[in-house]
Amino acid sequence: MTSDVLCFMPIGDLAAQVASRERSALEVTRAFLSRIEAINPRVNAYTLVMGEEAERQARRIDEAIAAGRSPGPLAGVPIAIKDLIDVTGVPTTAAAHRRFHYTPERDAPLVARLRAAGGVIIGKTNLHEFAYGVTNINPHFGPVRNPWDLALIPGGSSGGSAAAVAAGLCAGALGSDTGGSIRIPSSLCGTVGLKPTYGRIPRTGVVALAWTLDHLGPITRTVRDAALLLRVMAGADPGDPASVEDALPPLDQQLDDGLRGIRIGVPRRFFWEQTDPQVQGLAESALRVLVDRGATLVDRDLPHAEDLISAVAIIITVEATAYHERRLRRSLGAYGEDLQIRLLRGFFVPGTDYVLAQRARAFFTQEFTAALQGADVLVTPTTTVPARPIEEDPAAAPAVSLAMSTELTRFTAPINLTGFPALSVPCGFTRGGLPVGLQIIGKPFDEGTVLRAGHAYEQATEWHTRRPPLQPLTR
Amino acid sequence: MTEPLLTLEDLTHLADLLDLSLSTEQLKQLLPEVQRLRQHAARLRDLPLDPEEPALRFASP
Repeated sequence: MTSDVLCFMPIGDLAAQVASRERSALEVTRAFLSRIEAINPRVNAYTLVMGEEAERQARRIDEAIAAGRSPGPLAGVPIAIKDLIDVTGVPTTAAAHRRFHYTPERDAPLVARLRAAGGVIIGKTNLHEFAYGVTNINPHFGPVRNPWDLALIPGGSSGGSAAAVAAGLCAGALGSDTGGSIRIPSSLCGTVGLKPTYGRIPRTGVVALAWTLDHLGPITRTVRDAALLLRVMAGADPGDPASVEDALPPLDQQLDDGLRGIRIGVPRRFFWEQTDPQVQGLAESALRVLVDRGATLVDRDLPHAEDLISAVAIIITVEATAYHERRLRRSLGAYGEDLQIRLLRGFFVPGTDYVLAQRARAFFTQEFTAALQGADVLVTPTTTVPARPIEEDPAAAPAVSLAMSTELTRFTAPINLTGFPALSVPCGFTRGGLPVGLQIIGKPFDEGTVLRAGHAYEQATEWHTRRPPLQPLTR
Repeated sequence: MTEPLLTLEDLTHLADLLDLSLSTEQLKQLLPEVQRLRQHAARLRDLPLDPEEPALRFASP
């Protein structure tokens, strides 16, 4: 078996092979490190590759297996961590200026849970500076490039995580999602991205963007892989008062229940409008596949859908500025140009507007709840467009960054308002070979149905089996 | 509801009140963003939010 096959193997299969000693965790880790060395210089998905430390972790797992101890469901599986999540002993950079880096003394709880399950932390992934943007054009660490076309953005802010997964530079990755930062890069890079219900995964040890909108979740190549990582990471932690201990159903069984009896709500107005014709066509085709597999389509309406984005814009702006205020006043020049604009604007929003936006949020959540009565999930395109070009002109980049946020978060950010779970699964490729995602939205804490629908769709299609046209450079 | 247009002069005054030392160039870059946020708020003011509805008094997720 070539190392490339190993690097695209499903997480469950990798872990099973390591647990059964068919191959060692060290062999698996070295295969990924070798591919990272060959491919990452062109993609720039990582801020830090933890080569020696990853090999040490892998050896410990092999020793545990040799001693007859259970290695856990992620035995020897290399996982990449978005670089705003704490990993013991290595800097958390948030892909920001070095002045803002710090080195944590302990893992974030979700990282500790991955390790306890046998996962190997292989590196930290690049992101849009402080996770506040969707282009991943970064003045401090350089841009992440889309593995399907290196001239294009990967989407963001978890662009390094999605690019690493798509390019076979890790088996799975962690992202954060405040307005779509897991689902957008998943759509643009052809990966699976899950934003679980608000509170499902604790945010302790994670650099915040907007406290009431921030979520964490997995980015993987298959829905089954996402379910596996969710199961490992879910659960309350005292460091995040918003986190909850709501029992997950047995996802493995539920995944294979198929689509018969599932009612899919299609909110045509707003969520299917102003969309690139190719994206629209691919998402429509996905609806036909879902129906062919036994689902029923029902029209749903969100009466004030056009106003959702107004509430998101105000809440994220004010909370992000509040989080950064002290640093901004001391070190404004250490932020990239688009971050300066994004963060300074928050000073000028009255408190009354913030409260208005939070009240509107409750109003919109009621409308989503109503739309999900009589439907098990809602389905929309994940983004309006496929990946856009990387803006290479520094003078133009800030304006482009701001405009792309508006364009790319249109269908994802409203779901952060509600806190409901949402999944992006690949639903086809444009004529130019760029991946496109389908968004599946569920009821609070019903990730099971969201993943079930996504898995059934994935099983009916072959999009998740395609690989980006990246070959290691010859020396 | 139409939001009164914010001018560069207004923004400069607000920045002074907030003790923010910003250049004219920075304020010019900020102006359309601040105006956009004010338009967002104006849209939300048109929603039928009932002040007596308990669920709409204030909500966290």
